[in-house]
Amino acid sequence: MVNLLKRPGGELASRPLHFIWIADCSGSMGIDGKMEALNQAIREAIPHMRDVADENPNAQVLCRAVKFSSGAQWHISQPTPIDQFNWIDLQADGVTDLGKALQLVAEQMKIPPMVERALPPVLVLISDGQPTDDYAKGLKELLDLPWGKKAVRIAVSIGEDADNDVLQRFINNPEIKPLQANNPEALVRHIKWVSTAVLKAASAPPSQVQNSNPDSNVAIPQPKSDPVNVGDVW
Amino acid sequence: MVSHPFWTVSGKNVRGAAHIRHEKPCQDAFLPLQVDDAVIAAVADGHGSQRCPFSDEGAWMAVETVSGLLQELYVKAEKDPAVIEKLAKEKLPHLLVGRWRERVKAAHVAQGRVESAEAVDDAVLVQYGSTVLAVLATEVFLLFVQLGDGDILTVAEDGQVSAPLPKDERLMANETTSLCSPRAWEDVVVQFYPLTGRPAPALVMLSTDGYSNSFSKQEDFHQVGTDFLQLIREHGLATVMQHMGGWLEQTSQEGSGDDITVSLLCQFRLAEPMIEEVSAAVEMLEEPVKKKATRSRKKAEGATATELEAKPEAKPKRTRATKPKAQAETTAQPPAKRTRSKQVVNEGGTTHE
Repeated sequence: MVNLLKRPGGELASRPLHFIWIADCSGSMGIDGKMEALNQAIREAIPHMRDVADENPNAQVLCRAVKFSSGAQWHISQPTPIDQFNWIDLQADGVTDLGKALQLVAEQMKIPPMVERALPPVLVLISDGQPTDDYAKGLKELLDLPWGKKAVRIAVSIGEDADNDVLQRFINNPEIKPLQANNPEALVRHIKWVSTAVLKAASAPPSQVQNSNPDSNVAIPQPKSDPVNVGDVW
Repeated sequence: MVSHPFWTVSGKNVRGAAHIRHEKPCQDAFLPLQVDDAVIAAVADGHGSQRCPFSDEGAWMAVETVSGLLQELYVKAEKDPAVIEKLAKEKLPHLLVGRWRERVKAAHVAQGRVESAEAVDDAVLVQYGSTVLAVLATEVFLLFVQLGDGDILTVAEDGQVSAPLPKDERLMANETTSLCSPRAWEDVVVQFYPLTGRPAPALVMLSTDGYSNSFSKQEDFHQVGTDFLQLIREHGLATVMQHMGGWLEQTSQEGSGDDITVSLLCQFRLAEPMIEEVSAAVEMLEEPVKKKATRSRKKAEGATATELEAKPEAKPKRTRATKPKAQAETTAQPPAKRTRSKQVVNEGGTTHE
């Protein structure tokens, strides 16, 4: 039957999925081309993210980025629809104030600005070093919030100097390990995996029984293992 | 659709747009039931995750279990609101969870998914995980039951929309309490809503979370209550139900992508003009000499329609759970009312994708 009557209810909308890059811009990221490699990896990932978003019109992927070095600030502050999202290159300088970056993210995990109907946000932390501030305080602020706790948290560890214990605490899920990138190719691969497999899983999560898995409410696929290879430079 | 002199209950569910894209079945369920002068509506939402491969079946067992229990409660309490409230609050949560689990385990064995009944433990329950929402409605009270996400709304005569049950802040990020949770009875909310001393709502709506998740804001979702009431007043319930499938499909496509189930309990006087109109037209077409035979056939068709509408699509490899005994009593109402309600069933009753 042709629908001649007006549909009941107000405005319809797909569910927002916030995707936030949390990028280490400390001085050490400027060594051996790490910063350039990260900029390139994220830039290359964007078309893949758009493809994933196109496959699921019921999720609205909104991207932004936080950078941290000596202090932290929003690098791209507005939640930007992925089809309009363009990467702005990061510059390396300063120390590693991860805690301040997590505090910034925590502010955005509150309701409002988050909405209850949102899909679980994806937070991707990329770092090559040890925090220089009280990261535990920022992490606690994040994990104390319902959306902070329910977020899908992924970490990419660049080089051998990264503090994987800290990254694991950020992930807060023993089933998910930091992704180790010791060369540009691995970094590109990990960023692509986060941008596709993780984004896809988070954008169409089926209902889960509450507390059935206290570590994660989104089933994240396992990434392919990445053996040490002779091309490692970081 | 099941009709009653005070309340009429109808409903519809559609397979979600994302379920269609991913070739997943509809995992929602809806069951209307009439018990003497009361009506019952139940909706459920199977979880659908990889750990819950039979949650569509679990959802059906959920609506059947809660409907059967509410019927039993109503009959055993001899319609006494005070007794019903007491029994519901004291017994219903444990009974609901316990009986659903028994059904699940029996179905699991019956389907040959385990080698022996002894091999079935509580771990199997997760495979059938589901929410459930229900209402038992009479002229003097409403009894709401909810476990897990989904919405129950009441709509006053002036269109004002309210949520009679308290909000559960834990239900976010696609997490829900469930019939399969270890201590699920602790999460069952039972709310007795007397209609003495205050006006009855014009409309009560039960819906799975795919509906509310499709709207930008809560106000936009609550607007459906006001709009449904206005549409029913202007066009009649039958017409609204004819449009319901298209509306829900559009809502899923442009909104959450999830399955959507909506059940409406409408005061019978609001739906009646349309029902009377259709009924009168049918009466005029009936030849006097064939009236008796026609009535008998309609009686049979009406009962079948109600049963079929309450079932999901046929699944050869899965045995449907036993229907509650109350189903047979759905048609136990005065002949005139029965005839009228049947017409609406055929016009815009419950269907399942």
